[in-house]
Amino acid sequence: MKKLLILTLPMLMQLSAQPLLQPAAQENAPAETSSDIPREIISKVDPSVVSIQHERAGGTGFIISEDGYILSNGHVVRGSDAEDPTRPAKSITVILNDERKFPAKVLGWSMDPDVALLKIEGEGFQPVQFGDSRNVQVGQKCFAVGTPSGLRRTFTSGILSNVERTDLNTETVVFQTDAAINQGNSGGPLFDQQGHVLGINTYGFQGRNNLGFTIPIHVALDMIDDLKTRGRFVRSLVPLYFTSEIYDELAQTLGVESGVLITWVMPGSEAEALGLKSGDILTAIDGNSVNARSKADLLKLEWDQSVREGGEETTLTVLRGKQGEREEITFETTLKEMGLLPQFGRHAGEILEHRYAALGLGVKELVDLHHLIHETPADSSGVLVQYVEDNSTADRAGIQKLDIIHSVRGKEINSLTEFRQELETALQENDLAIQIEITRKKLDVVTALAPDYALKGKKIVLLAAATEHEFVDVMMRELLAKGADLEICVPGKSALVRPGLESKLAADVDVSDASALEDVDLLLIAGGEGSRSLLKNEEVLSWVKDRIENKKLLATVGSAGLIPIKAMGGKLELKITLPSADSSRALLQGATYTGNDIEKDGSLHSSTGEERDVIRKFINSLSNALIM
Amino acid sequence: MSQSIVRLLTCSLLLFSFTACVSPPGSPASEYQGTQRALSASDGVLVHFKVEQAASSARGNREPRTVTFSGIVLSEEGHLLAPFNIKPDTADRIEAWVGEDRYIARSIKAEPSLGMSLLKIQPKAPLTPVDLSSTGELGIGDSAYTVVGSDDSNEFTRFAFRAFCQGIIEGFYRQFSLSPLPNATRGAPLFNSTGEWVGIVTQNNAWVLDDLRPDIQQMLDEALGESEGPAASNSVWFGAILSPINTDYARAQNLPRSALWLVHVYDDTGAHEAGFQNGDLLVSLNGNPLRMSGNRTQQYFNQALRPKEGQSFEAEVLRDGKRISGTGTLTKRPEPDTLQAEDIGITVSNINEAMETRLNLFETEGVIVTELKPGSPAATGRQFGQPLLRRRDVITELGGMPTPDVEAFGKALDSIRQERPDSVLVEFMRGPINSIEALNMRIGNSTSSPDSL
Repeated sequence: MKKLLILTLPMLMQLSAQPLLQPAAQENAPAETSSDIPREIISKVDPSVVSIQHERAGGTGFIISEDGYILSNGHVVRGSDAEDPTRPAKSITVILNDERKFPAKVLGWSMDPDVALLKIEGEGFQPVQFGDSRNVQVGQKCFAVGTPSGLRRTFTSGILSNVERTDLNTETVVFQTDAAINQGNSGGPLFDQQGHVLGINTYGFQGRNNLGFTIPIHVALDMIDDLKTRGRFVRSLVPLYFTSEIYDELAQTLGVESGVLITWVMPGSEAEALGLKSGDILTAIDGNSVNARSKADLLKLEWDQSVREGGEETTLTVLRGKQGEREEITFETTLKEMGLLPQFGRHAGEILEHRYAALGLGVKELVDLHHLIHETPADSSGVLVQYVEDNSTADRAGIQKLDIIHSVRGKEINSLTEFRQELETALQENDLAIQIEITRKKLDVVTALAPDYALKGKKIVLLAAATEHEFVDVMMRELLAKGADLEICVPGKSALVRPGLESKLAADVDVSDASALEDVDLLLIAGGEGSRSLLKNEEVLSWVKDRIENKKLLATVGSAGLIPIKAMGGKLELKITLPSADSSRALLQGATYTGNDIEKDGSLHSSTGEERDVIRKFINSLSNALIM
Repeated sequence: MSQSIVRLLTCSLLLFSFTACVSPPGSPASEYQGTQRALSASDGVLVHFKVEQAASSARGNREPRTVTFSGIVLSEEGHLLAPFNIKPDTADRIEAWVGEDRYIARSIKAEPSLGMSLLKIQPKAPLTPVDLSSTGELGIGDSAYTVVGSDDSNEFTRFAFRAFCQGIIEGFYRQFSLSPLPNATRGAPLFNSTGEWVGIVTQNNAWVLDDLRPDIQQMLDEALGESEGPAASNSVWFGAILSPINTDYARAQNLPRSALWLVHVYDDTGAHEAGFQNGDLLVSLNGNPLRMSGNRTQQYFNQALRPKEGQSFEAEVLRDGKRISGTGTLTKRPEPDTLQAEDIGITVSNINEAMETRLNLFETEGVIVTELKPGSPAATGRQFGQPLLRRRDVITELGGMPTPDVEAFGKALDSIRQERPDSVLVEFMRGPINSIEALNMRIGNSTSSPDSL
């Protein structure tokens, strides 16, 4: 078991057991009735509840430690990057009850369970106290607080209507309450009459009355350690995912009163390797008997196993055979960690998509769970098509979402790396028709991608810092897919290691030789923190100055926009855009900073480059400039 | 009429052509006349369809929605031609307006290659069918007119539209390429300036009536019992899953662009008899090279085959760069044995090769659930709306007995009926995952109609 709950819960409770402030007007306040939320409880909880806002939406959260850790819902902080489902919202602001505002960082989040951990910098914040959400009763009085529909500090009260809700397709049981929970309440606490937090308010049914749902706080506490240290919740891979509770009829037909029925053992799984079989009845784990007569029992059992650490030893005891002939078998194994989750159910997924927007094609690494979710043959390998844009090159080739591409140019594909190697080599060679073989459910289909190669013959050098560069991969994919004659140049390092490009990398480009850029149509400088190191590189500065003075196409992304400003010695007369964090530096050096996502002024093109979509628009804009 | 025109203009529903036809004096008289002739010719033959599509259909998890389109009266008895592939087993509710009368229509035949269906209503009085023998012509640059009916959501009975014929698109069925028309005209008759019926409006263009006539007549004859009967050709097949070759791939590999991949050849079919294999590239049929490219090649093939049981064909494929010719005989699609297990609340059938591929089944040693009776033991799960068994589940064991086919399933069922247990264990595959459930045999006496696959 992870020790977090056991060790930190009392500690956190002790930390937060501070003297409570009494409301100044209490003496003159009306007398409380039994149905009121006790005033001291409000003053106890209220300072810990925060409003969360970002560029897309917002919600509520609550402080859990004096040094600024905050719990909320995953869906409150979820970002909008279609290719990276793990990316949270960009600029998150936390507003305390005293109106102080803090920029916040998302340390980790999950959509199921719907939990996020954020951090604000500072000390002396007032944390909540935690209740025991494993021991709650239906009918127990509870209160919710949050910022519904943007309304500040809203308290609502009710009871726990159900404490074992399992029919919302969630990974854990959730609480149901009739305390009003509306949009904006998400992420706020549900607390008891002692002011102890029982859960994180999360879902509500729109248009229904008094149907709100809450993640039990113990579930969130089980996850905190992983979210804090690993940025994601890492489940242990216990071979118990295809199981059933033994409900009345099953108990009758199987002739057993307790245990858990193993309904399926996935071929190739740990469970199969262990020797478990479909129809086995699990009766004990580590010598402790297990029993699930209801779905809630089963979810609780599975959750307790999921939160175990990888590497732990475990013993499973099962009954096997027909009624009256059953034998008891014991299996010993070491728990492994579950890999990255694909998108399914409420899970947002943790696997990145690699998109070639110029081809209208996005693919993902194929994992075992994809075969189950999308019902593809378990023995099929390749990459999973995740995105096909209408009327694109991929669409014209007849490629469909959820196809598995298993061969490119006749070469078998077993991984994303191999796919990229083959496809990008073909793009680099400007293949007119790139043969693609597809597994579509049970059928094999052969087709070809015929890219437009709008930038064919255009020579582009992509200059990137050796470390801490951003979106180099995206720019490289898009430029290759457009057929550009691309070289990647990394001053101080021989090459960026990118599949498919080894032969093309500028290992032999002498960065001190400005003439190497004479026939280059575009010099594109990648952004990221690392780009600041290029500010000290005299060769790079001289290239950039030369291109500006001779009106040759130059493009900068993100902080790389500082390079032309420095190269021109503070006399850059062209408009430029940069990330807002660099704006004051640009302005101090006399640059005309605009702050637009994309800026074009003569031969100088620049982009803030903080989002994948902006990068893609920038590449398209550059393409137009190159073609014109 | 004038009131209608004013309303139409107010609603901005009409293209300029219609206003030009009937409003201000000074418009070309011929266009006005053309519209009037079209209105006259369409009198009584127009159908306005409104289809409420079910939320979940066999075609996928579709949201419920309502679509409207046009159609044509084909017979006095109430046979209607609709411009979509509406299968006879559809759960969609289809309303048909003929004039001011509203009917509920049912599909009696879908013709996928035509993209049309034959529907039937029970008219209150004999209808006025369209004249299928019309031999009107429409040349490039000519004006064409179409008229659509209306439902009871407004007070207009008909709308008229004009388009230009921009050209003729070649194909097995030729199409008039028309200037844009509203979506609601899809399925409506197209008239020339003299009021002769020349085509049927499609999504973007119009089929040429001359090319469609034999097939529409055959479809109608079959429905009226004057031919071999309905579905005579529907169940006859070539015996392979076909997919058109990608033209870019064809160009790169120097292969014919009018060709079809044999993605999957089924056993005991004409394609199998001809010696064809998965991965062959079909390039000709009965001595004629395939024509067109992309999906139109497939459409061409379907039409050129004209499937009829017992009819032989000769086809040619490319395999490893060599041309291979083969002959085969068209056969009927095999119909799997089925069994209705009323006490459990399901209908099951054997699994054939075509079902395995079409339904993407992961287990063939079992029987597939094709119908589920609401309220039955199989349909009553532990949670509302989540039945224990579902259509497409493949049952591999019932009451502890293997059920590789319907016969074995029947024996297992007989055994259960004799023993009359309170609960029955059922093991099945749902997609790639094995499941085990226990059915409570004491529940369920619903008389509701089954939910068809």
